[in-house]
Amino acid sequence: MDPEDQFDVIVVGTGLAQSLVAAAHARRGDKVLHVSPSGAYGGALASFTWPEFVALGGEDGKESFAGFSDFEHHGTAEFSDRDARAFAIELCPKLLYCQSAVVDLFSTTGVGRHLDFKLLEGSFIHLNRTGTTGAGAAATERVPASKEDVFSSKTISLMDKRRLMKFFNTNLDPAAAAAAGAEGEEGMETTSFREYLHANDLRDTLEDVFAYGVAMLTGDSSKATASAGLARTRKYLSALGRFGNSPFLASMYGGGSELAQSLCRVAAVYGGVYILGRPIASLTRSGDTWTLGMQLDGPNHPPHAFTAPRVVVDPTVELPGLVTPVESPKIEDEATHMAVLVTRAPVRDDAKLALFVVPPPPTDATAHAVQVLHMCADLRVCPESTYLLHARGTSRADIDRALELLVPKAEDRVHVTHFKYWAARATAAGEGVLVVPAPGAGIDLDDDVVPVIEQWLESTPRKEGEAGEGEERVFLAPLPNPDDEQVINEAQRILDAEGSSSKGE
Amino acid sequence: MHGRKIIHMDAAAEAARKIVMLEQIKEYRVKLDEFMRLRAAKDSSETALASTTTMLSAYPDHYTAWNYRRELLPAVYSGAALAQALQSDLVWLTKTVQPANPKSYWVWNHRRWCLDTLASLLTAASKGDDVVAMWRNELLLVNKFLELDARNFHAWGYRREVIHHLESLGVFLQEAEWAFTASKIAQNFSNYSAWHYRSHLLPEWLAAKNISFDSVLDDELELLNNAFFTEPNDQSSWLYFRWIMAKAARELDADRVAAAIASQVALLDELLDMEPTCKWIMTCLVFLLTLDPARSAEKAARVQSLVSKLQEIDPFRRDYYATLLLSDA
Repeated sequence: MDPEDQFDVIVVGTGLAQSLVAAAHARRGDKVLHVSPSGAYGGALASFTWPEFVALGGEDGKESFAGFSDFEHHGTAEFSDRDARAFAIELCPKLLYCQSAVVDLFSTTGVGRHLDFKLLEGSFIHLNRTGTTGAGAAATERVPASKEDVFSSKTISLMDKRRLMKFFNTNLDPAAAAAAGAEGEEGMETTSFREYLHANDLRDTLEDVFAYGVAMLTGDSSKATASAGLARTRKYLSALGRFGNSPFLASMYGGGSELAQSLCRVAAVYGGVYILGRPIASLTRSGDTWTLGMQLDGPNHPPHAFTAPRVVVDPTVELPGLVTPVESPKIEDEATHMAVLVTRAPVRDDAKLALFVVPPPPTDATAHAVQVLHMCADLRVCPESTYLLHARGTSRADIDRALELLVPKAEDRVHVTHFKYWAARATAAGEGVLVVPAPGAGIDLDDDVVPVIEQWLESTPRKEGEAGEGEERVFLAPLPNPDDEQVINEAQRILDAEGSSSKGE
Repeated sequence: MHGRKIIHMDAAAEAARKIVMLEQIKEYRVKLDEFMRLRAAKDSSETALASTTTMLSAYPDHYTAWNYRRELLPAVYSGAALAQALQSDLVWLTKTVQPANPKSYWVWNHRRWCLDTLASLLTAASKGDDVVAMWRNELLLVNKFLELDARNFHAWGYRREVIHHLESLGVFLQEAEWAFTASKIAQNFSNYSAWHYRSHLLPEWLAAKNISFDSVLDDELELLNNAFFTEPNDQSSWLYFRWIMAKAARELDADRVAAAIASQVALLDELLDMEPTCKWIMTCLVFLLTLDPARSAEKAARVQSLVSKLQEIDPFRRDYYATLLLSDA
């Protein structure tokens, strides 16, 4: 076998998880082959142009894509060719908390240098739960993201403002919070988050603002423990002010695929070989070695064989002849319901890139909140003067209700596509194979990245000469800083000039 | 600049940076020697002017170069040509020098000098309208600076100067300025400069709109209440509050003042319940109780207990707090 065809790792699919792993292996000097039958990056987080998007589901809507299925497209929207291409619709868009594992990863390693993000302009709660019958922008309340938001609010009373600020300030510090709650750490596990909020005099609108807008719960606050609610509150609070007046960042140009590409770039720079858009013929194992057969030339040619001791796949990958030593992937029992709504006007004029949360109605204890990510052309995911509202929830009825509350006029709802997502989870990895998790249905990108990093560190033996020898192990060593390189080159120029001038004397 | 992290580079980059810096110092000495030679010779040619440009492009804090430049510009140019030269200096400051050095005294001074000199030239040439347009433009520039850094006191001070220039030319902008301070306070109510500007503007704005202080007091108090209920430890709003209450006590009739004091005391008592160790609330209560001329044994007792509490939580200032005690009722 040609040594060129022998690798240390073969990664299948350019989903975010696979791209992270490819970068980690390549960065530490492993020989990586990264393949994907698809011509597009991102796996389940890939983004679609308008024609691609409306074609999802096929004839009957049942044709699935990476765990997404049951597509229903409604609407008469027509776009010019140029506008149609200006769409980059992701089926499960994510947000990054400004203080998070993902941001740390991208900033410390320098991978983020080639990525663009926008800060959200606000997050809002719909007030339907506390009896407001209004719909549209007037019934939404801004979730405070700074003391200025609290100061400027016209609906929160003076005393409530003080309570809110006290709560913000005490809970930022876990030690202070535990001390403040006399029951201590254990008490926090048995008290519900709702009881804890009430104990701090946060009720009605403020309670909802905290439970759904700050702690970002999806279920009822009586079902979450105080410690869980507080952990999420702390994550929100620690993200405030880092980059500006919102705790959330959204990636431009269709996040998932951009992030995956950026990581693949790292892998390529460190010698990773990429074969994209070519079908896989087979993936078999013999002894300690995997052999991947890829159709590089036409179907009449024999497939090209590559070998490696380790393969990395995700549970949604379907390969002919794949012999997996692992159990078939366990699918979530319940799908997450999602929808993409296209409108021509924003819900609120003051926040075109925003998060709206519609809490469950007070009369239904089993209902869940619906989170709606409101995106605009600034993210380069849709053409000017169009807006994409991406909703996620646990029932179709909840989604319909949420969309009607936010965009009450039917004529504003230009197009809506409903679909479902089954987030596939893998069972334990077997010999020589790493089955990375598929992206979850949640909105926090950390939930898709942190488990991948932990899984890789746990399942990948340390290599001799790997960065951080003797110290805590790093997933991805920092990339060289181009500014430092520039200074070093500049210094070299100066030294060379001096050297040649002194020789001339 | 505060908030900048110290970036630790690896040894190679560190060493490289030293070499580059030494080279930069060499270049500086060459430019400086040439500049000083011309200066000592009292050279007033275009060459000298060019040397100040060279110096200032690289080292904008070199105030000797600015001084020399201000001597040279009218020496080298006059009349329309001087106006032209001043205009291009202003463009250079706006586009290049000031964005990189928004808080340099010397740069702001040079800007002022250019505008004053230009204003005289334009007035002499009977171009009064151009002068007004020039100052209006300056206001737009100041807005930009305050957008970049709402707490740049150079920009705030400059703003006042521009407004005064415009007023002396018959252009009155109090309404717009009032709205401007409100927006800056809403953006960040710890902005002491914005509150301070507001306090200077208030009497002018009232005069311009021909409305009474009485009619705006309640709105101002509501704004202030929101500020200290949101963040009682922020000094700016307390200072403005004390100033406005003192102004009310001086100018409005006694009943009105007593009522305002009473309602504010009640609010502050509620706030004190929630924040029992906040010294600003306590000192403000003492201030308000003292402001109201009525004296009683109860009041003296209340002040006494506030002062004791203050001395307990802020022992470094115990003697100062002692001076706040009321004399016998």
